[in-house]
Amino acid sequence: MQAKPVSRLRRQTIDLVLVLLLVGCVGPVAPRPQAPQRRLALLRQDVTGAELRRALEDEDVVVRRTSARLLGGRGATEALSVAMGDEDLLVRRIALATLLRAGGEPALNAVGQALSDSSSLVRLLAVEHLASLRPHSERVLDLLELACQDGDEKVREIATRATWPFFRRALSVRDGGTDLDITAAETIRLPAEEWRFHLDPLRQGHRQHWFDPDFDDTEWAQIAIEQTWQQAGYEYIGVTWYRRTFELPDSPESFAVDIRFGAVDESAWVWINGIYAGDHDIGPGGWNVPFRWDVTELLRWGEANHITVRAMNTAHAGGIWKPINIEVLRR
Amino acid sequence: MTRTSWTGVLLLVCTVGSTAADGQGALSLDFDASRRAFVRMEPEARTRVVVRNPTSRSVERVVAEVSWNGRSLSLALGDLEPGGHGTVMIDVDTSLRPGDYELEAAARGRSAGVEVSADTSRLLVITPRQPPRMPVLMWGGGDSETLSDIGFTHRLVWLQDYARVWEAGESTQVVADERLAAQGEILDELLTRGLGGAVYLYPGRWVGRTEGVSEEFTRVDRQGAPRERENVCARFPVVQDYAYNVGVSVAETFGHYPALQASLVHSEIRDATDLCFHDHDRAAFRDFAGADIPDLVDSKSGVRYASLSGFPADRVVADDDPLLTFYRWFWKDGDGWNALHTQVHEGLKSTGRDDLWTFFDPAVRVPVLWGSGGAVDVVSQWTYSYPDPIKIGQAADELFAMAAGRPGQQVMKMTQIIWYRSQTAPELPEEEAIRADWEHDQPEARFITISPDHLREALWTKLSRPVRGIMYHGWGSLVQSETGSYQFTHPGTRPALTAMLRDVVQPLGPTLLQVDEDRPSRVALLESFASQVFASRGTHGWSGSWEADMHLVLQYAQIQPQILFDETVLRDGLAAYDVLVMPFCDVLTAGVAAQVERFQARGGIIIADETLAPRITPDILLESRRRSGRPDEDKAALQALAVDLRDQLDPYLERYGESDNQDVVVRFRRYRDADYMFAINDRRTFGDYVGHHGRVMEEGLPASARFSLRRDTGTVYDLVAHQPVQLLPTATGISFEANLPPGGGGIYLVVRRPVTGVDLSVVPTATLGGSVDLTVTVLDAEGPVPAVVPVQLEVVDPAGREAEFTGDYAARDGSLTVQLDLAGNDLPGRWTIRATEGASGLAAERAVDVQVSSPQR
Repeated sequence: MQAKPVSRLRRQTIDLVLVLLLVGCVGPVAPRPQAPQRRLALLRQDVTGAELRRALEDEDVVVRRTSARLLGGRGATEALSVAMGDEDLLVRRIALATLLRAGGEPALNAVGQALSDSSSLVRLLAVEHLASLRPHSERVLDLLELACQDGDEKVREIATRATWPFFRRALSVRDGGTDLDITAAETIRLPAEEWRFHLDPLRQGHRQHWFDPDFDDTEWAQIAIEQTWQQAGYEYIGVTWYRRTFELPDSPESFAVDIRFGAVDESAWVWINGIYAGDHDIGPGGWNVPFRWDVTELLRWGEANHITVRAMNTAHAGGIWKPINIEVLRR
Repeated sequence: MTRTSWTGVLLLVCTVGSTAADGQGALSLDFDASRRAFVRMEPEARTRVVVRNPTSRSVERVVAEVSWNGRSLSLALGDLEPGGHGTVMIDVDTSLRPGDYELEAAARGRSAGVEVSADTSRLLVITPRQPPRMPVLMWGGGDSETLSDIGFTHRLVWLQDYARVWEAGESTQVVADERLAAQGEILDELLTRGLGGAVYLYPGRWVGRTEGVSEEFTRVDRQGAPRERENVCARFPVVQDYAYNVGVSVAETFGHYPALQASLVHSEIRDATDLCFHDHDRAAFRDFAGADIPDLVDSKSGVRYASLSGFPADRVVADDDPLLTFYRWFWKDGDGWNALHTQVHEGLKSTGRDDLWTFFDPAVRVPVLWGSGGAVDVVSQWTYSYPDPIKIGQAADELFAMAAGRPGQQVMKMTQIIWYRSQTAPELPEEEAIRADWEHDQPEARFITISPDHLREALWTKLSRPVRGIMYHGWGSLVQSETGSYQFTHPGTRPALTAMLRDVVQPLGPTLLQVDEDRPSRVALLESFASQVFASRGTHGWSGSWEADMHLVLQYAQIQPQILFDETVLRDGLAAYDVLVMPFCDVLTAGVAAQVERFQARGGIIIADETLAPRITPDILLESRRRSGRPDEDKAALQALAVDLRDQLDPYLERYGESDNQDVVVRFRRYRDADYMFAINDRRTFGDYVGHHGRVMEEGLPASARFSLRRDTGTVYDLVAHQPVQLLPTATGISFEANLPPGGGGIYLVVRRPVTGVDLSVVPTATLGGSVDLTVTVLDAEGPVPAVVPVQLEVVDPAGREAEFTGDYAARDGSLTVQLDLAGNDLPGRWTIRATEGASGLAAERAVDVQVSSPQR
C-alpha cells in the first residue's frame, strides 16, 4: 500500500511551523530559496531520490514538473503512480509518459486510468500510445473503442484513425511505370450540384455506414461541390460527408477507368457503390493536390452509381473544391 | 559613320526635326536611347546626339551644334552618306546644381547644292544625391508623381524581353532596339522623381509558362509523366545558364541607369514547386546522399510519421534519416530554385553593380531551412494584415531566422494593401442599412483596401524589427484607379500611409538602418523542420497556424522571442537562452533533441504544447488551439494564454522591459548601450468598414501604457515627437507612460545621459565649385552621444532655396559628417546650415559665406 502524499497545504504549514521554531530557537535563518533556485537544486548531479520525491510536493508547478521529469528518468514508477493523481496536468502527463515507457500491462493499466483523466491532454497522450501499439490486442482495441467516444476531437481522431477498418491499395494504371501510351480518351465530369452533405464532428459516420448507397440521407443538407464548404456557409473544421448518385452512359471502349479528384481540402476517403475506393490523406499539404485511382471494377456502366466522400480539413477551408471526373483510359 | 566625343559640355536634347525637298538629302536628329537624367556628381555621365541622313542622297559638310545655357559649340561631322549617321558624345557636367537644363541641338549641311538642317532639344535633369534612406517599395506599378507624393522610394519595373535572351543563348541586349529608348525613359523618369526601380526578373517562370519552351523542362513524376502545375525543373543546366544570361543582359543593357537600383527575383515561385524525377534529379540526390530517392517520398509535403511503421516512439529521428535527408536536400538545393535565384543575382552583379540589391519573396513560404532565395541580398515576405496586423512581426522574425543562415543577407517586409474580400467581408449584407459605404459603391469588389489602422499597426510592427526596407503591394487599392483587379474601398488608407512615411519612416529611416540588431532575447522559439517533414507542421509564412499564435502569445506576455530553425540550434546551440518555446515540435532530430536536453539539464525552461516529441518533457505546457474565426474571441483566448503563461513563467524569466497593458506590445532594438524601444498598440475593435462581418477587428482604439525598463539610469526620448519623456519613479529601473493613438506606436530612445546640445562644425567661408565639410555632433555631458540619433539637415542658399543635402540623416555615435559640393552655378552669398537632432529637438545653425571662385588664368 502506497503512503498517502503529504498535501501541499499541509507541507507548507509544516514548513511554516519549522521556520517559526527555528527562528524562536536559533534566531533568523536564510530565507527559503525562490522557485528557480529550488528547481536548479533538483538539477544537481547529486540530488537524491528523496529530494526529488519531496519536490513533487513543491508549491511551484514548474518545480514539481521538474521533479516528475527527473524521477521519470530514474524509472521511479512508484512515486509517479502517485503523481498520476497530481492536480497539475503536466505532472500527470509526465508520470503517464514514464509509466508508458515501462510497457506491458502496467502501461495499459495507466492508459486505462488516463483515459478517464479530466484533461484531454492526458487522454491524448494515452491514445497516442495506444495507436502506436502493434498488433492491437483485444484490450487495446477495447481502449481504443473507448477513446473513439471521447469528448475531445483530437482524441477521437487518433482513435478513429487507429481503428479505421477500410483499406484499398488505390492506384491508377497510369502509375504503373508502364511503357504503354495511356490517355484519357473521355472525361465524364460528375455534377457539381445537388450533393447531400452532413457534418460528422463525432467521426461516427463510417460506423453508421453513411457510405452505403441505401443509407437514407434525405434529412441531410444539399450542397454543391467545386467550392469549399465555407463558401456554402459552413464555418466548420473537421469531418464531413458528401453523397450523390450519378448516371453513367453505356460502357465505353476502354481498358481501364480512373476517378480523378481535382482537389479535396484536405483529406478524402471515397466509396463507390458502397465499396471502399481509396483515400487521399497526406496532411494539410494535400489541400490542392489532385489524385486519381483505378475504379474499373467499381463502376456500373449504363446505370446509376453512387459515390460517397468523407472529407476532412484541419485548418482553413475544407471540402471538394475542384471537379471530380471519371476518366476513360485508352491505349 | 562618324563618332565624335565632345567633352566638357553639359547636356540634353530630344525629338527630331528635319527639312528636305524632293531630290535632295535631309538630316534628322535623335538621342539614340541615351539617358537624360543624371545624379549630381555622377562620374562619366554622358548623353549623345545622333545626326542621321535618312535619305538616298548624300549630305555634305555636316556640322552639328549643341548649345546650352547661353553657350554653344560646333562640331564638323563631314559628309553623311545615304543612311549614314554621326554621333556626338556629350559629357554631362553633373557638378551643376540639381535642376533641369535645356540642351538644344541642330545640324546643317548641303545636299544637291541646297542647305538642309534639323534641330531638336531635350531637357536634361541633374538630380540631387539622396541621403541614405529606408527603401519604401511599391511592389508593382504606379505613377511616379503619386508614388513620390505618398513617400515611396522605389517601384517595380519590367525591362526585359525574355525570348530575346532565350533565343540568343547568351547575354544580349535585353530588349529590341525600338524598345530601348522607351524602357530607358522609364528609369530616367523615376530618377527625376527621386525614385528607384526594381526590375522584376523571372526567367524560370518564363521558361515554365512559355509554349514551345516549357514542354522540355516540365517537372515529372516518378513515372516520368509531366506534372500538371506549371513549374520548370530548375535543375536543367540550360535553364540555369539562361537565368544567368537574363541577369547579365539586364545589367549590360540598363546597368548604367542610376535609377536601376534593385531587382525582384522569381517571386512566389516555390508554392508550385514539386518533386521531380528526371535522371538528373535522381543523380543529383544520389551524388548528395549516396542513395536513391526513398520510395516513400511521394509528396513535397513530407511523410507523416503516423503512417510509418517502426517510427521511434520518442519521435526523435537520426540526423541522417533518409527521408529527412531527402527533404532537406529537396528544399535547400534539390528543386533547383535557390540556385536559379543565385544565377539571376550573379548575372545582375556581373557588370560591377554591387550596389544593386536583389530580393526574393515570399521567402518563408517554404519549410524552415536556410537558403531560401539563394544568394539574393534581401529576403522578404508579404503578409495580409487580417485578422491581427501585429502578426506581421512573426513572419518578419521568420525572415531573420532564414537570413541567419547566410551572413550579410538582409530582411525587408511587405504589407499587402489588398485584403481578400472573401476573408474579411465575404457576404454582401442583405440589409442595405448595415452595408458599409464601399459595399454600396462596389458590391462586387473582390479585393478591398486594408484599413488605415491595420496599415499603421503593421508598419509599426515591421519597424520594430531591424528590417532594411518596407514594401507594399496593391496600388489599385491604395489610389483611385480605373484599371486593375483591385478595388479602392477606403479613402483613409492612403493618407494614413503618407503620414506614416512622412512622419516616421522618412525622418527615422536613416537611424533605424544603423540600429541594425535586436536587443538579444533570452527566449527562443523553435520552428522544427523535422516536424514539418513528418507531421505537416509549419507556418509556411502565413502566420496563421499555432506556431504563429504561440509567437503572438509570447508577445502578449511581453516577451520578445527569437525564432530558431533546427540549423540554428545545431550551429549555435541554446546557451544564449533561458527559455525555449517549442510549438508543434512533434518530431526532432537527434542533434536538436540533444541540444534541447542539455539546455533543460542546465536549467533552461521549455514551453511546449501537447504535440512535443515524447523524448522531451516540457516545463510549461500550453495546449495548442485552433482559431475560431471570431477575431475577438481568438485574441481574448491568446491573451488569456499569455496570462496563464506569465503565471507559470514569471518566476523564471526576468524581462528587460515591458508594458503594463497587454494590448501594447513592446520590442527592443539596440545600439551599444542605447535602447530603441518600440511600442505597438494592438487594441482594436469591430468598426463600420468590415467589422459588421465579424471577421476582422479593423478599427484601432487608443491605448495607454506604463513602460518599465530594467536599467539603472537613463533618459528617454520620444523619437517621433522629438522630445524627452517624463520618467516615473521606480525601484527596479526606469518607467514612463505613453498614450498611443489607434493603430499607433512609438519609438523611444533610451540613453544613459541626457542630450545637452548639438554642435555644428563648418568652415565660415567657401567657394562656388568647392566643397564644404560639415560635422554635426549630438552631445551629452561627456561628449558625443553613444547612440544613433536622427538628425535633420537643412541647407539653404542665399535665395532661401533648399539645396542638395537637405534631408534626414543619422548621427552614429553622435556624429555625422557630410561633404557639401557647391556647384559652379550655385548662388554666392550667405548660406545657412541648420542641424536639428531628432531626440530632443535641439538645433544648431551656422552660416557659410560662399564666394565666386577666382577666374582661371
